[in-house]
Amino acid sequence: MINDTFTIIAQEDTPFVSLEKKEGHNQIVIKGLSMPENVLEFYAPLNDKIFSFFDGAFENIQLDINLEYMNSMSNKQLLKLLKNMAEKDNQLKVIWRYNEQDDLIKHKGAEIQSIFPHLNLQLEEIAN
Amino acid sequence: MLDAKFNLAQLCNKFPLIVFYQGNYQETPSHSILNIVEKNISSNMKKPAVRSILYLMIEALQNIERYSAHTHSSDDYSLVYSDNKFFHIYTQNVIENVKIEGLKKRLDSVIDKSKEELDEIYSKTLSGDERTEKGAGLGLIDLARKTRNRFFYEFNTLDEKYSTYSICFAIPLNREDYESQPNFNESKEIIKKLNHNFKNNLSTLFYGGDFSNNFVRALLDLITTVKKENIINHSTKIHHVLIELTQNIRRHAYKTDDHVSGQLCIEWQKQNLCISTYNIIEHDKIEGLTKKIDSLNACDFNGLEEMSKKSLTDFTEESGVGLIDVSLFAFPNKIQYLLKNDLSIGTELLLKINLSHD
Repeated sequence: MINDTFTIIAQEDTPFVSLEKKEGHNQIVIKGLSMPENVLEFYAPLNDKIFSFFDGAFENIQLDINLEYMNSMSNKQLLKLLKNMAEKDNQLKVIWRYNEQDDLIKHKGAEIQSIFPHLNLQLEEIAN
Repeated sequence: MLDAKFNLAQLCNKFPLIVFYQGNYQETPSHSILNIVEKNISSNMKKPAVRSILYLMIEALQNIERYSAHTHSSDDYSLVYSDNKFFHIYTQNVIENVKIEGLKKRLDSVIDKSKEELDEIYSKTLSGDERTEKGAGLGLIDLARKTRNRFFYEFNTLDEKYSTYSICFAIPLNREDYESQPNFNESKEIIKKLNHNFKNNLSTLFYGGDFSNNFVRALLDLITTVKKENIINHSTKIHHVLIELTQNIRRHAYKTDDHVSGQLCIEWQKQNLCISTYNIIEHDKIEGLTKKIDSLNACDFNGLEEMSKKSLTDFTEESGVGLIDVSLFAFPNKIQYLLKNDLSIGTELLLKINLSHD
């Protein structure tokens, strides 16, 4: 049963985001395209929202990331978000999805694995 | 080579918008070109003017699609630009010599007609009294009506079977220019310059205009279409490189009233894909930028990856890893740059990156 949800609609240069609080299973989805000119305008409030939304239940979160394109500043802000979340939830699970032809997004996922070797991050290919 | 690109730079400094696309129009990148133009003009022009320009562009671009012999894609192109008085639409396509006479007759039937005469021909054609083999020829008549007959055309022989057919329209943008005449010689000069630079490419996009994310989205759509046409696999490298480079222009280029004067050129060549950007940057940013590019160019692949990781995890710095990523994608090719003309507002900067076909 879903207890609570929060959604951010995708814009021309920012991704769709959904937060779901369920019993024993919390989920965050970030999907689409992330290339805002001012990344902090998007990622700083998102970071705050995630922490306030799951306040008191910040555990067993699955973060599902499926990005088509992202600019390098979004890449950095995502890493910052992952670091902040992993510090609070040591069970954090990250699914990094990439299109089967998109070696570059796959490489970005692998890069995160090498930067945060203790993070539970799985790379998952999506069929075209 | 880099120096030659500077000769084109004055175009984006002179015109608030310029879009040139040369290549295969069979699979039609027309909607993407329209999209790019629409994103540029819809914020600063009245809606009827925007509609009129887009309508005429559709007609002109579809003419290339429908009537080109599609034999030499480097000879099929469109150029649109605004000089604040007129919006110019110039197209060229390859045509079979046997079709020239018929087309010439149709063009001559409208070229010197008054508004009233054109209205009459339009009504007659619309009601079906006069027909041509592909459609009713309404598009051409309407182009003549809407531009108040400001157009010229020409044919140039390529060989015994084919020629090129060029047609150029100018739409007055302001009421006070309704009676003025556009400078078609200037259009011809621009085309000559662009052709001289790009004639050996498989495809080319040359652009000067808005560099906001609205444009970037339209650009990414165009790239996807062209990639399909040329069957060149660059994974999504080109998309990411373009996002970084266009956002660099937006962030660092000299601006007046939020208008960024910059230029982007993408050349699909047999061996490489070449991306170059031009903009003016403030004098005090030059040293930092050139030092950064020199240090990236001196790195091997592992060194670049290390630099990327270090920069990505330095959360005290808000800047991204844009140029490092570009270096990684282009490796083993280097980022080339050239600085020129120390202007009072800043220095002209040209960057060039070659991406090898995978």
